[in-house]
Amino acid sequence: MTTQSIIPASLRVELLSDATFSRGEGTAGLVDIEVEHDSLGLPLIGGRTIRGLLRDSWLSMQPHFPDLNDAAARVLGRSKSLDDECRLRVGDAYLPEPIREAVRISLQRSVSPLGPEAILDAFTDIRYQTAEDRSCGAPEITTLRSTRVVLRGFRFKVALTWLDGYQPNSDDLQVLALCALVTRHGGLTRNRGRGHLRCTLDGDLALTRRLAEGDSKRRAS
Amino acid sequence: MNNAQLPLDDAMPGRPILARWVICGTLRLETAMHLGGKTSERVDKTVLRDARDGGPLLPGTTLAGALRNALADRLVGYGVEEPVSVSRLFGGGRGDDDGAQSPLIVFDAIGRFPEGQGSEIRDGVAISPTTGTAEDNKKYDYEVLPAGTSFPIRLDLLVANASQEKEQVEALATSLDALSDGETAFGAKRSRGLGRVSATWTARRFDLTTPAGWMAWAQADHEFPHNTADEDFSALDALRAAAPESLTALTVLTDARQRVVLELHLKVEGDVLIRSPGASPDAPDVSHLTSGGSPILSGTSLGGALRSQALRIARLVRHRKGDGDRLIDELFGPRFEGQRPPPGLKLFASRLRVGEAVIKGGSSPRQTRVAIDRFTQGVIPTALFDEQVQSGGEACVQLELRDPRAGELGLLLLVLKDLLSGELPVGGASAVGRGVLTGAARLTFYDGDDTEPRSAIIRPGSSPAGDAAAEIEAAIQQFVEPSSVNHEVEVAAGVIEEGVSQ
Repeated sequence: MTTQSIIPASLRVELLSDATFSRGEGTAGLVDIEVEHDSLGLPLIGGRTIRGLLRDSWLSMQPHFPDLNDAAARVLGRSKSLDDECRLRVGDAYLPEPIREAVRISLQRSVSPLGPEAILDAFTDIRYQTAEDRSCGAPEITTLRSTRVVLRGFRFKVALTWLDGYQPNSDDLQVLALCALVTRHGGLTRNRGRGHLRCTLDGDLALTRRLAEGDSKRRAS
Repeated sequence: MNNAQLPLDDAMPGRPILARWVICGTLRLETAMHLGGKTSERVDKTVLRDARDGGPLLPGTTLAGALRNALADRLVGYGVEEPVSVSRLFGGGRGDDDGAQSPLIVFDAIGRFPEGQGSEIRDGVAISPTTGTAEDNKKYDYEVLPAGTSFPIRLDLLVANASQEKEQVEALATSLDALSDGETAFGAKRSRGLGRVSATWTARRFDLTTPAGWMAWAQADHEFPHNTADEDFSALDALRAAAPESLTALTVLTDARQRVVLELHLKVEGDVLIRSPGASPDAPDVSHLTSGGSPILSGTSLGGALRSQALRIARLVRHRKGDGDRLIDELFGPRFEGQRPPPGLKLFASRLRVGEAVIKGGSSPRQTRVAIDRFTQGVIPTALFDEQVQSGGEACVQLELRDPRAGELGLLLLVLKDLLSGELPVGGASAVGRGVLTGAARLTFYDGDDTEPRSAIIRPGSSPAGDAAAEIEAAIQQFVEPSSVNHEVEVAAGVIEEGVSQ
């Protein structure tokens, strides 16, 4: 197996719990915090969000992998750098194309077409929560809020594109795989149960684990 | 070193992580639980369910809030503003713009019903303390998860500073201990016995100060990073087992809660009937309430009976000052007429926590009754009905009086005297002799410091026994003696002025 033959083309982001990827905006009269969604009403995760999560994971572990610093710069880019070192483009995360196609048809059909709002409702739920006043044990006034969540179990696909025909080497793929495996939480309220993620390259957990071990480097040597 | 060799930097530097604790546990409902969900045509209040599979859902927000509150209670006592050490584990409080993100990740949990069981429906109604009958427009029903429902729960603790690890882990052990020993409850009506849980734990610590440690974490399973199948530990034992040598002296923190815990050992004399709706077409017209398949003495019924009797006693003893009603509201929480509280009424939870208990032993006979026409002495058509009552049996109910104020324990003891001697019936059909309980109670006094708790046993017809026996009479005297009753309440209400009274 050559390095080139296992270059992953996508990152799969699987929701192990309900998740809220949002810009913090709400829908008046319906929900205080709305999830990001496209014109079809299908939830999505922005590429910048995905990249930020991968980068955050790397920043925590990079002191222990000094030999992968150069590869990290090629995969994740340097902050505030104009050197254009970064070779990887991370796309937005969309639901799989068969689902998108089925939704497009349901929106465009002549008989009883659905609207994007109905699609969004079908793929999401709304959670309500309030705070409790410690001094009296009763609900605290004005703290009831509603947040939309994307249902757990959905798998988003993120296109990975290497710019200018760049061929990633094993170090690049090891950085990418490590970041994918260590990135396990994302979105709002990620420390309180939402946004538990499983990120894998090409949707293959075994492949991602092998690449994270530097599998291709050892094979090449 | 040229630019290409420098490690990545960022406007917001990455969070250093030195270790990651993964704590898994099994949370089991000891009593039914109601975590509010959406409204429904089927029932007034449904339970929260997982939107995908419909299983019972315990959100991480709820679990984290309960753990946070439990830790603060233990560190500083009930109702006191939480100390800074709580936010070091649970993150900045609401409205704290400078607060840090919580290093503790609390996961959602999707529960499993007990074998062959599903959710249950309970009736609720407010009983007028004056007439003893149901109040208008106060009848409702709500769905609960039965006792025995279990939740696989998980928490991850990220350690960023080695010098704070022991403090964070001990704080976590203290708050988890509250779940292990059944003192923390979830959801609605937890002051009336719902939502009580027990838990067992396992833990694993990933050392993230080495490449091998990071690799082990990266390769760990996303949902079950370590095997939890055969382990059964308390929170502290589980954390100790996973701790490195530098943290082996882990302990739980000093409990600062001031409270009196009362364990009531009750015997059902004759029958008791706490009504519940029939679940099948051939069910009796009314049945005694069950949860998880077992007959229970519900905290809502017992709490209601205790409140009514306490009000009668307080009005009688305090008739000169006329503040009996206010004393009851201070202890049990305010009541209000109508569907919503009037503007300006500050709601607060009852400081008397009344538990719910399974009635063990006894039987469940089905009894048929009919109404008799007083004039003809014949039966009234369509007035035949049957009831499935709980006959005999015993129950152990726990009550907790939080932050007792002057006179409150004495009032409660007088109410208990009536309950334990069979003069205060619980449940419905008390007019035909049902609901009579007898028994004894053990009181345990916790002063919120390192001193050993003291206890006393009370039994109708005999003197209190135990090392706190003298406090029983003193507590009653404190309530009955008008000059010593509830000074704080009187000051707050303007009845007397601070520093002038007594």
